[in-house]
Amino acid sequence: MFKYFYVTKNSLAEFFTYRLNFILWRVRVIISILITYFLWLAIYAGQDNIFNYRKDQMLTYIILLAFLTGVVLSTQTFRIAEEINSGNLSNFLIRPLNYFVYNLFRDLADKFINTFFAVIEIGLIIIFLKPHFIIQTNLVNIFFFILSLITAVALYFFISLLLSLIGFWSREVWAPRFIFFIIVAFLAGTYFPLDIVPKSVYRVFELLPFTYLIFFPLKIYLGNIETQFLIKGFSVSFFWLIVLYLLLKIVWRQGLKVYTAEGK
Amino acid sequence: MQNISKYFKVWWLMTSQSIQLFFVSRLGAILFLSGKILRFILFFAFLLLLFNRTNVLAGYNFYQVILFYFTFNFIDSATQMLFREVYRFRYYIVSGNFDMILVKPVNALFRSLFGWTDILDFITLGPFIGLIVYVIFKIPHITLLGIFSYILLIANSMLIATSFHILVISLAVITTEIDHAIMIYRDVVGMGKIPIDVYTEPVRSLITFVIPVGIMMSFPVKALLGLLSLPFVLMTLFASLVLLYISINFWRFALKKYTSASS
Repeated sequence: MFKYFYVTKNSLAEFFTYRLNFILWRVRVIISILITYFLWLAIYAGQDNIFNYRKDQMLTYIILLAFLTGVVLSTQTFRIAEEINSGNLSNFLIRPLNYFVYNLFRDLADKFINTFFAVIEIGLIIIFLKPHFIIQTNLVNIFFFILSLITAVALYFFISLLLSLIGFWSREVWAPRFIFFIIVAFLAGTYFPLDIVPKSVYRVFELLPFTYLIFFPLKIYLGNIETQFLIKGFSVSFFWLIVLYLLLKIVWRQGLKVYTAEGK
Repeated sequence: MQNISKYFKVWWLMTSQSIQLFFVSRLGAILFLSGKILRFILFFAFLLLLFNRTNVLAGYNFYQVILFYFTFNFIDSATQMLFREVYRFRYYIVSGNFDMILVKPVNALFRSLFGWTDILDFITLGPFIGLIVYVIFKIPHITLLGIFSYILLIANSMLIATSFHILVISLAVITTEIDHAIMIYRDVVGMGKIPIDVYTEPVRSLITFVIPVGIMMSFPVKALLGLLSLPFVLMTLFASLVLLYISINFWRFALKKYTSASS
């Protein structure tokens, strides 16, 4: 198990090698948060409650997006598709390691560094913009928030892995990922809390795994710990986790059968 | 005149090659196009949702706000269509293949900017124009002078976009960094999806006068709505020419720093 920590260590070193790249990436994250932040600030001009969200709740939701994006949506799994297409996957298959665990630890480095900087950025946003930021102190909320966060990380890891395995059958791996980014951006709740849409649409959203990546943890953080909401949320999340895990095993097995190490 | 004709022929040659490439990876192209359309529809749906609960946004009504959004999409798509080559420019620099561009009897800046025309963005331009015309008819008190200023300022936005792209590729020559620089440009420009009046100070001044996103994306619509005085329009045109002058000089400066590494 210890060997995998070297994967994380090396991945962290990679980040610090391309420092300018990383800084510019973080600038992009801040800009996207600011766009959404100011948009909502303008919407709340002169009123304190829209879509059943108070102004402080909405602004906290938007600011915490930086943190959630760092923890949940940062990943290196897109590299799997490149490794399959270039034939480099063979190098991993012959090594005494589990390729999925290897990717998990590669992701850990990404998540660690993105989360670390996200916390600093959130601090700066709070200092400079002085919004009414809600600090959750209820231990029950914090417990379920952390649990939902772990579930979200696992869900996104599985979905992203599956998307990369397209590489076994096609060289067109970026186009599906481009659509995936767009879908996640909207259906995970990175533009707005999902329950502001009409109820019939929200009922459909509740059945999708994307809802449990960003919206569900943030909703819990903001204070929603109704039993029904939690039971439904965690049930659907765990259902998707099992389905995605089984699907991943099948797709990986089938993919290896057609893998030809092309390019090597 | 002969020179313009020559460069048009070169551009047309490069564009026809780009179109042929589109047919090589048809599935990928269709998926990318679907993604672009989906992204447009989803943000539009978000605006529709907002106006279910509020009548005005920063003083603008629904049709005015979506005119800002459609205009943003038109300018953004036109820019992407023309300057897609900029996204591949880093490869030329880090591989040293930029030497091949420099030795050819075509202006290196022209080749680096216009080397690849994105047909996918071209496809979206027609529908955007249709939507803009539809919305203009829905807004009362639009004058001919307003429409003239709108078209003039959209052309001016393209000039600003050209300057930005020159600055980005110049930066690539000096630092070999371009991927995030061009994406930051896109993110900052993305702030113009909605009227810049939404942003509070000092952000509003920053994206109007320092990084002229406001001039690019919001001023054309403001002029159309009669919210921009003539001296302001003229000042905007002058500022764009100054930016173009600075960017071309920065490009010349960057070329002197080119080391032809890896060639």
